[in-house]
Amino acid sequence: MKNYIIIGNGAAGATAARKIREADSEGSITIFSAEGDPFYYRPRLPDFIAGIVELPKITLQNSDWYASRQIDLHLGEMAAEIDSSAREVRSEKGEVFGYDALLLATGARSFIPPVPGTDKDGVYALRTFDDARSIAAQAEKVENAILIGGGLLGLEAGYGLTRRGLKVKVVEFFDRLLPRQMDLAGAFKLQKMLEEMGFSFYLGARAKEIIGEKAVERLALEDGRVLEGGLVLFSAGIRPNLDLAQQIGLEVDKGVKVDNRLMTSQEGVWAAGDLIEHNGRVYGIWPAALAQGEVAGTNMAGGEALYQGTLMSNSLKVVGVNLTSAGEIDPEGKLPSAVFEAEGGYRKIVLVEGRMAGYIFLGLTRGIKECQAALEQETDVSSFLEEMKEGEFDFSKLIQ
Amino acid sequence: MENYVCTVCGYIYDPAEGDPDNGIEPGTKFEDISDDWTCPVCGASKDQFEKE
Repeated sequence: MKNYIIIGNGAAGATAARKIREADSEGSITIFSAEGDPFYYRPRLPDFIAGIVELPKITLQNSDWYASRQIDLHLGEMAAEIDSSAREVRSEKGEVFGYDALLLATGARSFIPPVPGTDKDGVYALRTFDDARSIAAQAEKVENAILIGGGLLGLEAGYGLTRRGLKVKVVEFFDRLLPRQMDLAGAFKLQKMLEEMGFSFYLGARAKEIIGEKAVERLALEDGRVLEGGLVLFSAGIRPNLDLAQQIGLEVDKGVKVDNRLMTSQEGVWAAGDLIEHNGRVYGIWPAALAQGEVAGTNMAGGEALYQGTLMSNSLKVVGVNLTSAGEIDPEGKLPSAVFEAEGGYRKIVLVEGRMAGYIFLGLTRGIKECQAALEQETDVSSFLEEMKEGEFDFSKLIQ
Repeated sequence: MENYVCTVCGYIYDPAEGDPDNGIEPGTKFEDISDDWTCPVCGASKDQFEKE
């Protein structure tokens, strides 16, 4: 009988456990998790903050799920130490467990930039369910929140707060929103839409100091402005949790290095999820962690699976608004393009040498499939340049 | 054939499209998908889906 140990119970760890049990009904599976809640869908934590979903609704595998599969889940108990030559893990409670196959699925944590005052009450970052509980509790007591970081995840978390009725002041280092997904005009449109929802924006700005007696009362910006608010939420990216990997001397660069089977530099030690670096890439996204968990679990149980990377989706939701962009989005507005703008919507189709080169659809979805097909085939769409500026344009013309 | 929606993340299973990335051919009814299939977006199990 084989002994499996999984450290971390997020998307990668929980999925690996499922795959191991599917392939090996006998083996002993032990999971250590820093969190007190079983496997849940992290991307919906903003909806919990908004007060529109509770934990059971977004739980993917509850405690019964683990128990009925004879998986020994240690919630709120992390692995403290690994002895990889003896193939043993010592838990925080001091118990020692032997393993034949070990999976590091320790994920990532929120990065908090070194701004003075982050130790005050009322300062948060959103990563775990416990974070979401604390933020929701604080949101009950205050009217104004300050969001530091106006990227996608930050805006989602901020949207949770606005739906609770708070005013959210966004401090963003860039002078515009979503520079990777949006051109200037589209970003401005999105900003207007967000302002109607209760956001206000401080762009091209940097946080200097969080001020308050014991709890946060205001935030000073580098440019001298001061924002009032009783809740500060950082959304400044994530950092992989590498402590255990470094402790046993695994090869680590930006993340824990793995091969296509997701084995680390040590035989019998596997890694999956936000902490890994595969072919030079650290993904940090949910679908990649799910796919990696499947591959690692299958291989740990003696199967043969290869991880081939995960495509980044070009379609997402920003605060409930659909945003799809692909190819050349002409961020500065210098190329020939067909722009259509309406109440709650923005559409831009970019041409390079007459051919479909890229597009942005914000709040609009009709025509995306046809544009994507024309993009893949590099269709000459120059004769439709004027027509495509009309809201009612018949996109089937692009694929004839 | 009916669409099914994931109650956790909102993904919609459309039988006409199937889930080819995970071995479910276009034209497969939701009822005919094996029980160990999971939501391709969030990882929810098949019993966490509802008729749309």
